Amino acid sequence: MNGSAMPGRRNFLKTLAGSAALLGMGASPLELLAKQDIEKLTILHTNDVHSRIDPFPDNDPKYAGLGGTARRAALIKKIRAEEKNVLLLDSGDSFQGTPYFNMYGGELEFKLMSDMGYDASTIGNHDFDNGMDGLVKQLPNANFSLLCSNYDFSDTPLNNHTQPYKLFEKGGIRIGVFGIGIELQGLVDKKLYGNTVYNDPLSKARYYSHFLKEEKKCDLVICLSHLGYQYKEQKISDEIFAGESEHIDLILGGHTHTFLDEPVHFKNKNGKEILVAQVGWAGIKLGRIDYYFEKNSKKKDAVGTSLKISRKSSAI
Amino acid sequence: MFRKLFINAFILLLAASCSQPLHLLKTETKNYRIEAAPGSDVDSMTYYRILPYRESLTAEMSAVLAVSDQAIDKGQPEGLLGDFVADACLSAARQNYVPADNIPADFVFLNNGGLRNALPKGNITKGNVFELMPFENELVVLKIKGTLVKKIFNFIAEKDGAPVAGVQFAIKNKEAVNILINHQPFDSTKTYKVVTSDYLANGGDQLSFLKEANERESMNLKVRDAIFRYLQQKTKAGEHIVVKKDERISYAR
Repeated sequence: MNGSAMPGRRNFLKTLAGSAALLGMGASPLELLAKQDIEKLTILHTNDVHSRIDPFPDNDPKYAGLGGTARRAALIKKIRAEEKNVLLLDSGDSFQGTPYFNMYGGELEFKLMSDMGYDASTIGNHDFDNGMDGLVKQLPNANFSLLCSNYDFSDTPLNNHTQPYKLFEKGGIRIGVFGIGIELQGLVDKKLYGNTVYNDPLSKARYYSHFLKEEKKCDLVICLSHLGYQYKEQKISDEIFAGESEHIDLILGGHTHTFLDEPVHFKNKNGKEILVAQVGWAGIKLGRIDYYFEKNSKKKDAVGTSLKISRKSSAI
Repeated sequence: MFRKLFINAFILLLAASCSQPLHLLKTETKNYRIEAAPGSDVDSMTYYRILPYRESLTAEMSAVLAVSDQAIDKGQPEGLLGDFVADACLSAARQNYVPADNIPADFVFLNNGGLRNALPKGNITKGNVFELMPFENELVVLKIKGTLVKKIFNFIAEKDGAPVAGVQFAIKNKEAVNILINHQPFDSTKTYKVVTSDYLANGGDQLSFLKEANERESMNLKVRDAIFRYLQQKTKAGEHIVVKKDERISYAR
């Protein structure tokens, strides 16, 4: 499966020794390094697992025998054994949908996500189903970050328990991940979300994606979105988000329980490629996206830099 | 000497990689289906992490409440699951609602988004009902003007159907027509009593106009408990669960 993966920095010295031997034959060491120094990043993702700890029972009319956390955990372990740089992310609504949530309030959902090594999740509308206190109570079971940039929790029990974004570094690749939540009014009972303030997702996304790409120099900017893939009406969705964005490379979506066979390619505001992925719900699927980065490709970087300047000016 | 040159080049490259973005060569994507299949392993640590939770949950949730003659799933504009849940709520309203003004409830209106899982053919367990209705939503009775009732029906038409009971109507160009409430033609000058969930009554699912209701009474009964009672009563009466579409919502020809 990872036959095409090339060695990373840890094998650099070996490469260096090999280059020295080849130098006499006319190959430039720089060229050689550029060719060989490829780093692979594997993104794994889920959304809307909705407390589906166990597989669907055999008499389920639609999904008999599908899903199950113990199988997902085994698959994730297998992929981790094969890949060096893995990031495991969730796009919200881990809670609500089976008696596991009614009986244990999300304790097991968060414990299992921690066991599987989730790096971050955003907050879905159903994650409020036991109220703000119900969510706060389960936080000690989560050793991953809850990311949301457009909910202001200052005046709620969740204050200081979430972050707008998080930076990751895997094999020299810098990844910026931020979260976006759906409008709660009219969707979640006010008594459950309390004094949470919903801020415009597009303006927050514009700010944080620019910040991550330009200031924090991320090679990849990922948005964990719980907006939903698309709607019949003109409501903000991942589809609209993708076209309006400038610095996001990948949107991992949720909420609409959309089974996309594979991530969908969109053009962002500048005509640049952006991927939108969503894997239905209930842990029936695990999504995977592998990014192959060329390290130290000086010539191409220069092109990237000039593009960046023009993009910056067009953004203002 | 060559070695020194290399180290310098290496340092330069490192410096470059810190400030400039890496060049993306390509992406590969893949979706895995999680299922019981050959080669699909079960992680032991996870399995045993779940086990104590599952055992106490199963003890609580595996009680069989009723036997169904068919799988009960959603549909549009009318679905078996919507019919079943709305009928259960109407039945609860007939039995449990004690109106202050002696006027009984007219009809039930719920939302499809609130029905979270299908019911199987055969045994229906307590756990199945929790998965169908995991929320703690309670039933309320709203007294509302005919003009607002029309808004509800048009909302349903716009959504291509919703769970209802006690009414019959057709959808034509995203509007509700030929509306019967309790077998009587709808009268926009009358006041009606609608049974719904507190979630919708509070303006959930973009139904903010429901907050304009004249009066609101709580039935002090969860939607889930209304379903439990309905199933248990059928079983007690020696009946299976039989759900058939009765064209309560149809598309106008």
